[in-house]
Amino acid sequence: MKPFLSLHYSSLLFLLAVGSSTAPPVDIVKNNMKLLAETAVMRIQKLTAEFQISPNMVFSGVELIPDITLDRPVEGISSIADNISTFQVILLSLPLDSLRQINADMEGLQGIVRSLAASFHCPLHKPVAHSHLDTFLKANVTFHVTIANIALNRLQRFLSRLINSLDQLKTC
Amino acid sequence: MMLFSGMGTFLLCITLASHGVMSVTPRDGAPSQFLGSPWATALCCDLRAGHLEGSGEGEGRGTPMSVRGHPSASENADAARCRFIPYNSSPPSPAEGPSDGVVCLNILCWVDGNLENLICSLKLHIGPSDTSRLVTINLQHLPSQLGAVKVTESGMNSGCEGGDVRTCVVPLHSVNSTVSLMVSISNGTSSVLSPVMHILPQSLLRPDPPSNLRYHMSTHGELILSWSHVQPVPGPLVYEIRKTYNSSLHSWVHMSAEGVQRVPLSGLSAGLNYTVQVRCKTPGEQAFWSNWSQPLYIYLHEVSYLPERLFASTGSNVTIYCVFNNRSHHAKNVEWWLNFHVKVPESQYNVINDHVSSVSLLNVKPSRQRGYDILQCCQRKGEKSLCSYPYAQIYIKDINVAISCETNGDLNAMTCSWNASQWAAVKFFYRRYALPCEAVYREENTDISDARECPVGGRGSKSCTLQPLFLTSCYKMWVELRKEEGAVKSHPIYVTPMDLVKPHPPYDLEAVTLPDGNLSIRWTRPELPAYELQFEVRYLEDRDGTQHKVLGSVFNQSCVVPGLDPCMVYVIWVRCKRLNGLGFWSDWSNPFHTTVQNVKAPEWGPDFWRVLQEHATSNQTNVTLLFMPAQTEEPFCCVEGLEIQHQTSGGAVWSESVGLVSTYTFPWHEDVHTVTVLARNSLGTSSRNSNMILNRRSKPQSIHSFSSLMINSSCVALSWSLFPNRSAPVSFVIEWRGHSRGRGKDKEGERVKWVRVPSNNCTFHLHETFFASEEYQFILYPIFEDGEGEPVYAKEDRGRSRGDHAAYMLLLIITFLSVVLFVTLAVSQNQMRKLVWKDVPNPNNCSWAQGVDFRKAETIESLFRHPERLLSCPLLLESENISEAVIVEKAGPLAQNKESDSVLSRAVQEERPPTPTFSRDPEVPLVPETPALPGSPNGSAHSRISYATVLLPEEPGLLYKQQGSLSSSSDEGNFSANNSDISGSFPGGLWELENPPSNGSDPRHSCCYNSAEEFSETSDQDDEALDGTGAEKDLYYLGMTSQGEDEEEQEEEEEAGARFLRGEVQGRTPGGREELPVECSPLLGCLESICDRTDTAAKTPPLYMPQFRTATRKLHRATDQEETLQL
Repeated sequence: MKPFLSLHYSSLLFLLAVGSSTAPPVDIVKNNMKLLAETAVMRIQKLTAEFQISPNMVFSGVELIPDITLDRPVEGISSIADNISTFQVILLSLPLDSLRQINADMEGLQGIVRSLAASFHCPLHKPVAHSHLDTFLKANVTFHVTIANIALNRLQRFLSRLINSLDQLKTC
Repeated sequence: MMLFSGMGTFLLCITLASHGVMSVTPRDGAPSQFLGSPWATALCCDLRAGHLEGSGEGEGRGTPMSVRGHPSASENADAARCRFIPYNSSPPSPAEGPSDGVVCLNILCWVDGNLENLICSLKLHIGPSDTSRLVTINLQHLPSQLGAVKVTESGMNSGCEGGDVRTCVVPLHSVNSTVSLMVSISNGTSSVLSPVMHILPQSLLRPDPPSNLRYHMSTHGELILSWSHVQPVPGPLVYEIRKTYNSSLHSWVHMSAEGVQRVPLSGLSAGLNYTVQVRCKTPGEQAFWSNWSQPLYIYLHEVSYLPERLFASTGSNVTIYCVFNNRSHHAKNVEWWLNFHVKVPESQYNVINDHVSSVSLLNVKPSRQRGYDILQCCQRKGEKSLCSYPYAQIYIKDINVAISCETNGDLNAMTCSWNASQWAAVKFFYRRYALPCEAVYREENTDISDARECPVGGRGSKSCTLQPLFLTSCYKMWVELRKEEGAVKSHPIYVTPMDLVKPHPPYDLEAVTLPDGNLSIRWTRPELPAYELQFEVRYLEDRDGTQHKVLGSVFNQSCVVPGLDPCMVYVIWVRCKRLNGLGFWSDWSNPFHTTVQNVKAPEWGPDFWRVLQEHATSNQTNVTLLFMPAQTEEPFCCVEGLEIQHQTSGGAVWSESVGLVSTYTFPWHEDVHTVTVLARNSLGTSSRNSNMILNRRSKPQSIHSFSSLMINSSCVALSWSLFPNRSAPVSFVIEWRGHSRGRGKDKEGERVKWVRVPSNNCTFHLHETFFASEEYQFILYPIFEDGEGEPVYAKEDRGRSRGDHAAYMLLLIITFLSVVLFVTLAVSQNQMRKLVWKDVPNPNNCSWAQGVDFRKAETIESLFRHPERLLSCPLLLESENISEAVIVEKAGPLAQNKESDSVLSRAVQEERPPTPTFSRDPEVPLVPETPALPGSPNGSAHSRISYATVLLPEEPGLLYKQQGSLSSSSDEGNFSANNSDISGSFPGGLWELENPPSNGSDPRHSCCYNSAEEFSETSDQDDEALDGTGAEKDLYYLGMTSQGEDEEEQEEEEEAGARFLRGEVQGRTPGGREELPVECSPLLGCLESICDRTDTAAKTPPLYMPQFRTATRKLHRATDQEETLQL
């Protein structure tokens, strides 16, 4: 629960910060967003190279981890923020040291997304609780290798799609 | 028995305490929990004599044991004065409660937690008037087998302590034995003994609920629930198990077990959260159930692994079981995956039952730097494998992690890092020894301290810093991956911090350039480490594109780098390392930039030339100045930059300072633009400078002719002549450009270079690297006082036609194939000969050979003579006969080569010196931009030579040639001779190479490789000579002789060569060659063909054989001849 609470508080603080500051130009924001996403993708590739998942392996029971190929596509800023928030919960819960930096990248990315939302005057969602996901992660911390591997692969897919669709990202 | 009327009623309140097991919370003197159900009763005795009211057997509440008395006569009287009444924690009612002289006790007995004592609590209820009276209460413990009469004699008093609530402890021998008790009450004046009370302690037990509930999966897929007891139990217990799922506490499913502390749980489904509890009791109907145990929550994934974590040694075989809790999955349809991407071969699978599969991994090896492998069993579904996220982990005990350490320059901390996988949460451990590491290796067990974990370094860190440091101690270090089931360790390393020092870099660098170009460098070494250091100096010129140079093995704190440019700024670094012993190089010091010292300004400005670039669109001309590299005039007089002064016809004057650049570009707008370039340094600018006047007006034409000849790849000869009676230029500038062949003359492919030539020269040898892949154009600019004159152009002359590369290459390939064929045939012939002679049949065994006399040569010859076969496959003995003579005859004259003729005649007439000359006729007026090209495609480079060879048997000279042909010598001359026949079969410049004939300095060119060309020219001349003198048909050999032959032979050869050159040997047309059958080569010869050819040779155009030899005199002659031909 602690990860979620810390995430919650940091998001609230960021909301306050965004509300009280002037949003930077959209191009700069998108450029930073792309830079950060690409950096995270590189980190993930380096990390998952050791445990590359065979394309013939299909996993069940991990539906709570966002999968961009199954969930709604990266269309709106709110959707992006929600997905990043979910991935942050997952990354924080997994007992892998190497995930901490990726989570920091996601936190930075989340901040940029919210900054972009402010530029577009998009309503910002309050951070939602991930009770089911939290329960799932706690119950299966023993099997964190699989969960981390799957989550990282899905996060990489999400970020790649985010990078490719940044130019079309104009809706909330 | 006296009756104490003043004594109040006593009420015994029993408090239970579960001894040592359960927490006791006294409340009204009674514990909240107790081990079992207590034995309880109330006893009232009348201490007054004669006031006996009621007696009999009391019953303990809640106990199956009743109190039975067997009193003696006197005791009967006492017993008659006591009576049991139902237990009541409150004082008896006035009707039955104590009155004066009556004492009532509430008795509560239980077994303590250790099952060692029976504890009874007796609470007094004394009448109101007797409250001040002292009442003594004793509990007498009787052996169960004794009768009541023995009570007083053999009974054992158990002292009871306390006030209103007396607690009595009765030791137990066994919980299964009945305990008999009597209560003795006395008030000092009277006493009474209660009836005997029999208590079975076992019946009082109420066991603790089972604890430590757990479950595990068996290798057959059975889920086993087990538990244990914290306190010992008196014997086999009866258990009751209940389970439910998803918190539906109202739908418990019960089951029971007796005497065992484990039970299989069946019917559990995957994906549900089950709650399981267990309670117990002693056997028997009236035993008490314990409370329910703490709940155990069970969640079954779709797959369970046995074991989930496995620790194995390197090289061992491991077996992992996989249980499908989802009963729709079948073990026969399983696929095992290792580390998410490696499928385990099916041969290693084993089906245990319908839902359990196992896999065996043989000879397991340590994973990389991770320490474990992930194993998963999945359900095959077509091409895919449907997997669940649980997995089994296989830890191999020897984790392969490398640790490296480094001691800092202050020698107070050592940082060790390791390369463990990001997926492995390893911890760093070390152990320090007072001994040197060499001793520690030998005495591994002499640990002086326990292993310590890294004191510094947070979560996720892959390094550890040890501080303070014991410099000469031995540290043993390793990383560990610890789990509940075990740990894996890396191979330890043993290090001594003093051997791992990376010093601080040297500092306070100083560098001075000496007049002789040496660079003197000094620095200061770090104070620590205290041992001696060695140094390395790295320096480079402070400009782009230069490489570092390193001066190593410096043992002092200074050095001199010789041979440097005193006018160049250098950047210098120094680093250090332990001189004797182990250690690391320090980082490079901070860079130090040297300074250039000047004592005066430069005297001369740089020479320069220009390149013009016209921009048609903007009607503007860009001028790029090309500077000659500045030459150091004298020490400490360096050129540090240039100053370019402009002056235009419009009157504008300006200057611009640039660095030491090689080019400088500016736009040219005015008609006349004068540029002056000055060299400068920190002390001033040069005083003697060059200038250039750019003028758009027409330029005077002063050069009459200009030609070039490429002598070799590094030298081009240029010559020119001037118109007479014209003003003489001040100097000349030769500009040349090279561009890649086939690339056109685009600007990108061109590289402009230039050189200034004094005006008194009319020839110039340009030494430069000229690539064969490029074409060069030379431009000669006359430079006058007031500007440039009209330039003239010349293209390179390589002395040969340019379109023959492909033909030459083709001929070379054909030659090579011919040689291969030649050698193959020779080898085949030898092999066949051996085969035939080895396998001569035994006539006695062969029907066809019977009667044949093989000792006669004629027989052999008749056997192997098959003329029709020899024509096509002349491999046998005939080959030795067919190459025995050569007759060369000259055929009819060839067509005259008039061009060659005229050139030759000019050569004789002009008698030019043997320096490189040019093909352009100097008398022909020179047209600018139309360079004359010597060696045109129709020139002498064309080979017109044709060779033919006619072989005659029985000719003495043939044997000589045959030997030469079969010789395997690699001598150059021999090689040529050996292949002369073949070259005759492939005429057309077989020996021509790409290199044109040059100045004759290359002996190869003269005598061998280019011989075809030479002979071609010669043959042309010879033909011409023969036409006038008649046919003189001689054959000239150079043969196989060596250079050291006698003088006579040399003279003979010389004479022959002279005749050769005079034209005594004639060439022939290619038509003659076509008549030669292929099989008439020395190895393919056939008698018939040779005979025919002999006749033919006499009629066909004359043949000569090029017999090559490295003869010096001939070489000169050929060279002279060649030079003549080039005229």
